[in-house]
Amino acid sequence: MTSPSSIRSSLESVLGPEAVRDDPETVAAHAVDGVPPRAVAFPGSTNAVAEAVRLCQRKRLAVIPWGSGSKMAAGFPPERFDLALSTARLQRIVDMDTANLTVTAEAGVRFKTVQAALSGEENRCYLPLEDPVTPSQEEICPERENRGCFIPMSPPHSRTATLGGIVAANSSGPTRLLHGLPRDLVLGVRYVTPAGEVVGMGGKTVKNVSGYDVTKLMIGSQGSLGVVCEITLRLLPLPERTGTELFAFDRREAACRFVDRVFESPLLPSAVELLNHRACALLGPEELDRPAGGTWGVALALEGVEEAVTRMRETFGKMGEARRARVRLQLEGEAHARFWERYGHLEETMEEAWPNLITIHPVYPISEYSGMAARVDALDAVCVLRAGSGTGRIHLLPPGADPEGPEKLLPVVERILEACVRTGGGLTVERAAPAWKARLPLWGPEPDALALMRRIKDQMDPDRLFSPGRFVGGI
Amino acid sequence: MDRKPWIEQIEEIVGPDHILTSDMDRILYGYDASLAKGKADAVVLPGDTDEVSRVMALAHRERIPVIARGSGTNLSGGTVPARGGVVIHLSRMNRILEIDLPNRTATVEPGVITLDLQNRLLRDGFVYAPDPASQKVSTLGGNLGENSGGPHCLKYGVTTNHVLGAEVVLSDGTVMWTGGKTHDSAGYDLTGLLVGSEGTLGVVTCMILRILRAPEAVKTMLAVYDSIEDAGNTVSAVIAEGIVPATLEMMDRVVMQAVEASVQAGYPLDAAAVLIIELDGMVDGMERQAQKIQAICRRHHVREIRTARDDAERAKLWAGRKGAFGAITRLKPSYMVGDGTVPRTRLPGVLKRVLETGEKYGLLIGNVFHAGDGNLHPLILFDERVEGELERVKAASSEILKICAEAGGTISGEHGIGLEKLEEMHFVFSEGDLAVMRQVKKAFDPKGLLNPGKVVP
Repeated sequence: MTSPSSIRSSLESVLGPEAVRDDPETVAAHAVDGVPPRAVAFPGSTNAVAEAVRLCQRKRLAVIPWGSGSKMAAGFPPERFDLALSTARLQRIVDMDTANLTVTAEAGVRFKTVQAALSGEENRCYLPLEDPVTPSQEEICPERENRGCFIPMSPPHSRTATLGGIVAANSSGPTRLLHGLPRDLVLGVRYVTPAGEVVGMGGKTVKNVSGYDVTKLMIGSQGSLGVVCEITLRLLPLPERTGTELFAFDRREAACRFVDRVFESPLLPSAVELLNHRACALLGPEELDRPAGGTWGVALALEGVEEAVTRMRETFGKMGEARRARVRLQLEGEAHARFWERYGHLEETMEEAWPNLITIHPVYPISEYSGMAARVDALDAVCVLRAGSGTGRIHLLPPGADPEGPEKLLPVVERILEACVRTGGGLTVERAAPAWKARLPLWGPEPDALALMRRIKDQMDPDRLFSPGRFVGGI
Repeated sequence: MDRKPWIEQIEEIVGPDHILTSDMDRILYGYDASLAKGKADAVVLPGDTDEVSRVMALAHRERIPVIARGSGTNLSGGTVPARGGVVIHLSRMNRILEIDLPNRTATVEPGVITLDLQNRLLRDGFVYAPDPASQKVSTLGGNLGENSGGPHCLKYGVTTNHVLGAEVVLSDGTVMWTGGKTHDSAGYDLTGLLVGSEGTLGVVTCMILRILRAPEAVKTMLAVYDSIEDAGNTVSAVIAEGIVPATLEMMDRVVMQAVEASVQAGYPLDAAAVLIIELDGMVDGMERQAQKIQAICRRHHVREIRTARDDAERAKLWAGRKGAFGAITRLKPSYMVGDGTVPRTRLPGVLKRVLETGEKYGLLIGNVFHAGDGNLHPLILFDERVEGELERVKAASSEILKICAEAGGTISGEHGIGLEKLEEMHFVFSEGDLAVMRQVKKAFDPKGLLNPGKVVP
């Protein structure tokens, strides 16, 4: 067994003293399920990550990659944990190619940082720089109406989440309805394999069938196959207009019928979210959940050209009226942005009041959302269901002072799992206190292809050094 | 012919009517739409997953290569039995098993023709978005194997963005499901690995596809240019203006002339290039967007803009594009099609170098391609009977891929690597990258029996 100080000194010899810490505070801050690492490394480049991983390989040290830590509560407690490999110093935005609608950034860059940088990006001149000879140069960059781009994602933990973490967890939010999952938006990754080799997969083009799509394998692999260090994402031009329509209904059934009508229409909202009354109270303006209790809310995100957004507002407004919506609120500009910002920060908002909450990410065929809503209705939970995407988030709230409180939630999770499995889906537990994890179906039902997944892990990480035991089936 | 003992065992599995062993058949299944050729030991046409599984288990025991194929429209040698073996032709497994409108999925067998599913869905007002030009003939299983693209991928993504789940038979005959009707599944994204793996990881026997509501409105325009640079700059300018159309397709004069001789789509014969620009989605604001695009075209010296007034006119504009590869053989008996992809701002420069490469090797090159996503399809025309010409074609083709790789692009956007681009894999991947791909292969197919000699050098 390597002693902590020798881990630090050997890492220091390859990374430099400023890049390694093993003081109690740092180590405690990087604990996974209560298990602290023996040291934390903060490599400053992809090559430095590779150096650190090669050292771990030689010394057989177990590694868990670490971004902002926002999603570290998912998964089984680690079998072994020697080194937390932080991406905190991988902070470069490598290439903002807005003319090609791609951005490449290092894994430690926060999502909101890139998003902010992109929205202000003015350099959208699209002339090939290596070949600037064109007779009509002055006409090529005309006065442009469009101001910037964005990464079409709306991930949870939006204030802190890093690009690396979003990719490692295939983490998605409300606008996946229109724009898809990280797996649809990540064009390429550069990562360090468990053997310490820097490899690059995918690239800057949307179309790419050169060799196996290993990028897909890395997306959602939860740090079990290496460290993602650099990511290339697909961008979209900022829409001409954005906005939000919020509705509250007295009855769940009315809310669901309204949602059904939205999907039957030819209109294309970018998110259709069904909120139980507790979610309404936490997220919405006060009017949304008054009188409290019993309410179900529907939040629609709209984006597109002026005319399309106007029509959606009008049509959805009429549909809401027909279903006797008790409240209708229209958000624009700042209010619209703030609402979805709160949305992305929901779990953090609850942390203080309910430190022991259990967060579930249910998965079901998209038409089953109303059944899922019915199931959630009786629970004490904050719940948002992603209608049209077959998922959502259920935050189960343990009864306050009752020390047995959390205990009572375990069968609730089982029942939700059963319901999802009956429809052909499953669930993952994104957050639960370590003490209960042994009794929770953390990754849902065993995947049919688990044996093949194990073979992939055996091929790529034969010594089981990366996040050992944490992923599906204890991979 | 030396009749191999295992052939009888296969006969027992699929029945004597569903195995082909004549010399003629073995040669017929020895090629695809590329220039590569091979010869199968036998061709098997299984009727269901169980038969596929039993045939593969047998091949595994006997260590016989297995090559799955659909219609064989692929363009890189992906379905050529390079080392002999059993060709599993999936054409009998061509049922649309379920269309689940509430859940927006279609469950199909791999032998379903792409257009058949699309036509079936349109009756309900839905679409399956990927639209490879070969959709009239190509199968959905083949589309999965090659991660096929098509004009509408600019807006909607390629095949991999539309496959939710797959039933796959592994090389030892094991059958398993990856993914399903839901959009998220816990565990590694094996479906994502299978798509585009060119039949080297497993044989997909059932697939769950994502379907979308058909767009409310479509607007198709043809923009005619006297210079190819102007057309290329228009493409970048449209995107830079914040408009992502459903398609942005380009064709040059060589291709237009061939197309006109073949399908009479009404393209002007004296123009240097045309763009097919299509908008789709909600009707609101579409007219304004179209006008904005037309203004951009005019800024880039467009000669003429035609707008399709109805479905018939729209179909005519597209007929030429979709029939371009076929039409090109009117000019020369053979062609080799490239599939390099570059960041779209690099298109004008790369295009110029492609044409220079043609001149250097004394070869005529036509260009028809998905300009919006930087996916080039240079068609190098030649006559195989002319001595030394094929060698020059291969050299030119490789050089063009090198140009694409150097421009920050890649060597295949939608046609795959197959046999033809194995060497060029080194243009874009390091030994370390390839080593990871070999690990993937080993996890799926440890004996290396599935479509051997393809994709990864």
